[in-house]
Amino acid sequence: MNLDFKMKVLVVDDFSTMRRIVKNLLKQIGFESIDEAEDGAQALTKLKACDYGLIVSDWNMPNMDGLSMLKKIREDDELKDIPILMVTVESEKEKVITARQAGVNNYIVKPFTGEVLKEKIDNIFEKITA
Amino acid sequence: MSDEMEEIISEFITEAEESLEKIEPLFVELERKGEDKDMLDDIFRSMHTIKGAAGFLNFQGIVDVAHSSENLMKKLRDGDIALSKQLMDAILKSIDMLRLLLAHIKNKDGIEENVTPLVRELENVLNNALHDDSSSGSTDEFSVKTESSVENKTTVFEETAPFIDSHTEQRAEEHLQSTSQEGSAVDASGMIQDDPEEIQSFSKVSEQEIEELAKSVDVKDNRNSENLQPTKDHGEKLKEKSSQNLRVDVERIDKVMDLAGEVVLVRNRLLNISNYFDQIYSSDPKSETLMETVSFLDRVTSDMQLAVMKIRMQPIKKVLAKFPRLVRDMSAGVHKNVDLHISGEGTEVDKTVIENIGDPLTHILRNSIDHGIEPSEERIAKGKPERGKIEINIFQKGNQIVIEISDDGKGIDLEKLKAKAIEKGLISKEDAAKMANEAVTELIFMPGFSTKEVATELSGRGVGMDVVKTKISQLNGYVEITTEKNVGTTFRICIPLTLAIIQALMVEVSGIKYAIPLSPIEETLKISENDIDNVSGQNVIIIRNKVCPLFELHTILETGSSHSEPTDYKYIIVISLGDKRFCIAVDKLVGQEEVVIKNLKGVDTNSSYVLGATITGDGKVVFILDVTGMSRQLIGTAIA
Repeated sequence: MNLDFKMKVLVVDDFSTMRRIVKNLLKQIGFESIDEAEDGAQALTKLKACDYGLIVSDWNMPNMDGLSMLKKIREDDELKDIPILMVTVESEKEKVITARQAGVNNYIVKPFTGEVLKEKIDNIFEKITA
Repeated sequence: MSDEMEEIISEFITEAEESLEKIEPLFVELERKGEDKDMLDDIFRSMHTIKGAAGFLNFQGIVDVAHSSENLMKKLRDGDIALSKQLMDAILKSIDMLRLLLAHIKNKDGIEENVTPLVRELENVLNNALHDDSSSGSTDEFSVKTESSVENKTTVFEETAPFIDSHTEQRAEEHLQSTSQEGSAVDASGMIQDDPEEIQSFSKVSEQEIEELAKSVDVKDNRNSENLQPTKDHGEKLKEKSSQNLRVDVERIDKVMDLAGEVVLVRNRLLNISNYFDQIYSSDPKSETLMETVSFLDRVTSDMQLAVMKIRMQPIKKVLAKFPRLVRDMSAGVHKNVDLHISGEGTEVDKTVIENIGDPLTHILRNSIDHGIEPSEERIAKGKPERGKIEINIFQKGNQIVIEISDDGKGIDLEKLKAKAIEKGLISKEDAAKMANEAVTELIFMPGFSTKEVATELSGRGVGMDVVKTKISQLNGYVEITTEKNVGTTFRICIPLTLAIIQALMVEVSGIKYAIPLSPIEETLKISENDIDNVSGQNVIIIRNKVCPLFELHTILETGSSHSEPTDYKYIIVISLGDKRFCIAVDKLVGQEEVVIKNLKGVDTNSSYVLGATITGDGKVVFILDVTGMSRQLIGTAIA
């Protein structure tokens, strides 16, 4: 499966260290165009302004959290097809179910390596193209 | 370690510290106000985020402490346990521990803190709270208790924990509770530590096994109470630090500050009235007593104002502490050798300044390292010392705080700067030719301006030097730059000592009184119409052989025509903000007054040239004008 590394990826997290870490890992994988947003609200503005191929989003954020953002995206005709990878931690496993129901494509548990991240992303696009 | 990694770690430390700094006051608030979902959410989120990032960076101690306090916060937020002093103390202790751990990482001292006692204590507190609270009966309680106590084996256990079927889990809990009277889960953790094998087989525990497990728990009881002892050490360390200090909510201090401001206003009015009476009843002996009393009040008020102001003042050291490391990392990132010298870090500044000065200073330092200091070879070729030098010097001058950041680099190339500004379309060629040197250096503060072809990793954060200007203006201060080729560049930031009470010049235009902050006023002049010249549509006057643009205040504020006759004299206020100088013409100069800045709600202070309002000695509300904003607007349209 060959990923399209030209697609724009949006990293959503309120903690800038985390954004940077995720960004670096995405770069490692081969993505060339990575954008950032601090919370769900900012992400939505960016999504409206530009075409993104993938969103990697944290769950716990001020203003608009990952779940509210996800719901807004899935309700929006323009944005509803953008794949979303949710970043979570072990103790939040119960949220995965809620997120799945709300339409998240896959989830990844912090901390993760570049390989795992790639696997998860590959997995998303395999399912989409299948 | 790679530079990138070092940078991420240093960013993590800063961010984690900031986020701890942000949540700490919330605890004070929580204690005062009682439980508040939003605040609990905030604290929970911070712990959660710190844990997440620390996990990537392999800071296990931080992960463990943050994890345990996050658990506590979660239960608190979900209403499973109630807020208590014991709980609060435990969480505050964990914040202190996180700080300590961060400090060790920052200082690279290699000291390993033993977080086990604290993690135990947090669990213990949680258990006690859960037991106290009869409403606690959720099934995931058991998994939370044990999960957090397994320390280094967390990963092994966490994999199995979610898969324990809830039925077994519930039974296990019932048994544990019935067998042991107190803190059964902590006891269980002691046992699990002894035998990690058991954790793995935990998902398959039978009822019988649980019973055995529960029995063995009782036996370990004594050992565990010993384990809880070492937390004392940490507590004592903290006690020493806070011996002579009183923690007070900032809001309370601000309230006192506000009241002191009100007293200043009342005093101003009293001064006004007593002056009036003194003139009318000068023969009355009581009049003299009144004058005496009022002048005494005057003095006491000034002292009080200063004292209150001092409460809010903190040594600027707090902000500067991170800079040596920052400079070290930043210069390493661009392969330069730079030494940082700081003097005057004991200078005290207002809390608001402390909170807002960090960013602009960081930007200036970045700028100096990126663009000012030359690479070693170039320096040697120029006959300069191999290592570059940046000095930060802070001192108080009158009622201003001055922060100077100087480098011994190559200086700002004014021609290159102009060329770049023309290329970017910020100014025209004609403008560039007319520009004074001071105005050219100002260009680097224009949004979207950067002289390097390629933004380096450091400066590539989406913000430029314009942030410096904006931030400093918000503090009612200004920045000026002096630069000399191959000698270096100095950024001088001037900020008023206090942000709440300022000296102001009261002026009148179109029959309305305004206050202008005194600090940027250079002088006031009385000129006649003949002194005004016109250069390409812009009124100017010549002050000691220097051309200075002149603006009418009534035009700026659009208050209609001036009341003064056209042939009349004009009163001119010369404003000097850094290297910008301009004049404002008003109808009348009323006098100097100490004013208390009251913020205005619902007024767009960016476009209205209004900084705030104050109540004057005669009880009227008067707008305080924002000359910094004016200068930005006026000089922006007319480059002199």
